[in-house]
Amino acid sequence: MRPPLMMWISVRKKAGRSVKLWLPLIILWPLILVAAVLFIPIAFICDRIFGSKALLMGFRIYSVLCATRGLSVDVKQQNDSVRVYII
Amino acid sequence: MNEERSKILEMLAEGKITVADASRLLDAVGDATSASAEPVAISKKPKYLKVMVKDKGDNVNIRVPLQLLRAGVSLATLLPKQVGPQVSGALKEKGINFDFTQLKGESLEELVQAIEDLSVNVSDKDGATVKICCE
Repeated sequence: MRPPLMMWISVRKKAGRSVKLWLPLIILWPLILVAAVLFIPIAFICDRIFGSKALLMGFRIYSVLCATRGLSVDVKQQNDSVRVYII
Repeated sequence: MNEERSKILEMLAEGKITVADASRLLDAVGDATSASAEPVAISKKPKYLKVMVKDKGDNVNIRVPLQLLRAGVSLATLLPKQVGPQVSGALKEKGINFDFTQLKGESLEELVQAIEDLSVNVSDKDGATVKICCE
């Protein structure tokens, strides 16, 4: 399971202005790793003491994040368009 | 494989093998032939749910990974029980009659399987089309 590498967003308006963004999500991977390293022991302790499902919830949230790879949304209305791709 | 069958028939004709042996050998060659000739049907599991809507100048193309659906449903099963009725109520206000409390992890694969087999193709006289499929 691998988090997404990049997100591409394009918003084009009738007036001619367009916004195109390349977001390198890969730079978030170290942050995700640090957050995981901090979160896992705390979640483990919470699960043991309070009987919560914090660890499982964290894993499932990570699964949702990884599953967004391949998501694409392309909406065009007259001369306006919005495109979002996650790879 | 025809060559092998010919050899077997030649050996039978020359008396080197009996009819029973020839029959056994032909069956064996026949099984091997059918096994190698049979096309292996590899059913490719669909990975994405595609929704395409066209209406005059408006186009909507959405491609959602089915894995996202699985992950989302798995996450939803962990939500506290008191959240379920609230979510169902909010969906109902939007016109979606779906009982969120009935969403269970056991029926996840069944749900995804049903969606994989889903195919919708609707068009009206004005040329507007709606297509929903899995690929």
